[in-house]
Amino acid sequence: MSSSTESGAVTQFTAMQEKLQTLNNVLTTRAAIAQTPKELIWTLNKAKLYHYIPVLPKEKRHPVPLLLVFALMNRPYILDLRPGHSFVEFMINQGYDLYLLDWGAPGIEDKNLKLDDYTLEYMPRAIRKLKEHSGASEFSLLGWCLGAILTTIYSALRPDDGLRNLILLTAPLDFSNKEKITFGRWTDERYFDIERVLAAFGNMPPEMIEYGAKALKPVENYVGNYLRLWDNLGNPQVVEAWHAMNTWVTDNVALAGGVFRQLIVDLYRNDRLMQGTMMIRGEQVNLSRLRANLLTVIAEQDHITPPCQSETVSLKVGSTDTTVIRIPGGHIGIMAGSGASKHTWPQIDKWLGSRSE
Amino acid sequence: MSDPQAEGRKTPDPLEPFREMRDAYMDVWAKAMGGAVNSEAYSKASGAMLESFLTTSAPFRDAQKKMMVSALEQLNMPSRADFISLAERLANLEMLLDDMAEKLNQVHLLAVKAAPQSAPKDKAEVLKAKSGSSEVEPLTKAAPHEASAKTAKKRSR
Repeated sequence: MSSSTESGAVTQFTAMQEKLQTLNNVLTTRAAIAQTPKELIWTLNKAKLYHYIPVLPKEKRHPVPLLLVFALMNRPYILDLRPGHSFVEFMINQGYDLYLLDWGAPGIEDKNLKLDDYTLEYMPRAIRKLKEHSGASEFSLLGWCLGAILTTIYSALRPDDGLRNLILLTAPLDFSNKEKITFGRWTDERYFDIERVLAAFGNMPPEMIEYGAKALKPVENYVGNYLRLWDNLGNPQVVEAWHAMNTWVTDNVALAGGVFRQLIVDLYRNDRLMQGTMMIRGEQVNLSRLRANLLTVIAEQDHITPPCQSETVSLKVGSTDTTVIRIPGGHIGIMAGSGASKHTWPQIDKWLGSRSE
Repeated sequence: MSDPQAEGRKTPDPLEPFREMRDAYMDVWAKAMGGAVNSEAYSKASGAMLESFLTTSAPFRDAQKKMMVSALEQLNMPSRADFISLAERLANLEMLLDDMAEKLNQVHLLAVKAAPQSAPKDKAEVLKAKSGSSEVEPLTKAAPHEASAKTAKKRSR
């Protein structure tokens, strides 16, 4: 064997070794995520309200604070994924006084928590604290995924709490189109006995939630995702992004049993929110009472919340100022993907900035 | 022999055709699987699997639960149910405290607003100067904020 062939083989071997080392590191460690400085200002049970430390002086900031409300079964740090690629960081730099409501991970003792508790016990208290902390009488809300359900219900039930702007990101609100909603089919009462599941587990286990989300696109999630990493192991930027996203994707939390029951029975099966028959602590959720300025952001290739689930809400609300933005991308990609900082975030800022003065 | 990189050409990757083939196969596979999981048959099958898991695991789960409760009782240890009940009571207490803090805050605001009318003129002026405007600083604005920030720091350690 010639010496050049030998050195070529050694180079190949070293490169392969480095690749495997990177792969091992990415798959077995957690990425450094949620790095934007913040302070804890309120807690209740597992919920925490954070205030992000502003980077602009008060006179350059928008006077209306913005509260971020993410889904109950995922960690909210997807909004602040990694430095240089964080929605939180972007909004702070645009001069927003930013707050985050982190629901935390419910324990078995929280299995009876319902949407009623989250929308009428936790949210009003967190908002009360936000107002007290910021000194503002009005505020904006951004709800993403299940967080959009919570913010919509809250906004319809408490329209006089000072909510000026409501942003709904990939909001699953309309469950009437049974053909397009795969989750709805899986949890149909003919096949899915929710009472037996909750009797066995109490809360909906995070593993089942993760499986449900991934099984919607099994090849892409279980195979394609890892092949993409393998193909790009020599590209540090792709590896860093993949690592951060994988850290978030595999860090799900349980969903309180009471909420899961309402989600399946009231929403997926009976579409009560859009029908106007949803009851929260004895109050009917009437969407026409929602009067805040409304921005609905739809992800065109969303397979978790298909566009048909978010398109109709603006027709039902009582708001006079409603805007719908359609962005090419998936459920998470539109906010945390590589194009988010160019497409989604500036559009949200443009809409909200003019309404936050 | 000329160097392809020096000429600005990309070094040919011998695995590229295989990669393209693989990606094409993946696309077809993804479409087929996407259609499969979206079908009535998949929903029925996954429901049946879940049902059989719950049915077969239920007796073991129940037996384990009973055994654990009795073992904890024998050891004079609190059971999971005891902890759940305690946690629920703590959550309720937290809510009561939150409401009380808010009420105290309101009382404080009212008291401070009323103070300038009854207090001597110089004291009223001091209060006004302290608040900076007609609006007064809420009682709980700084204290819990600092306390919770300290708690957060402690937790992060």
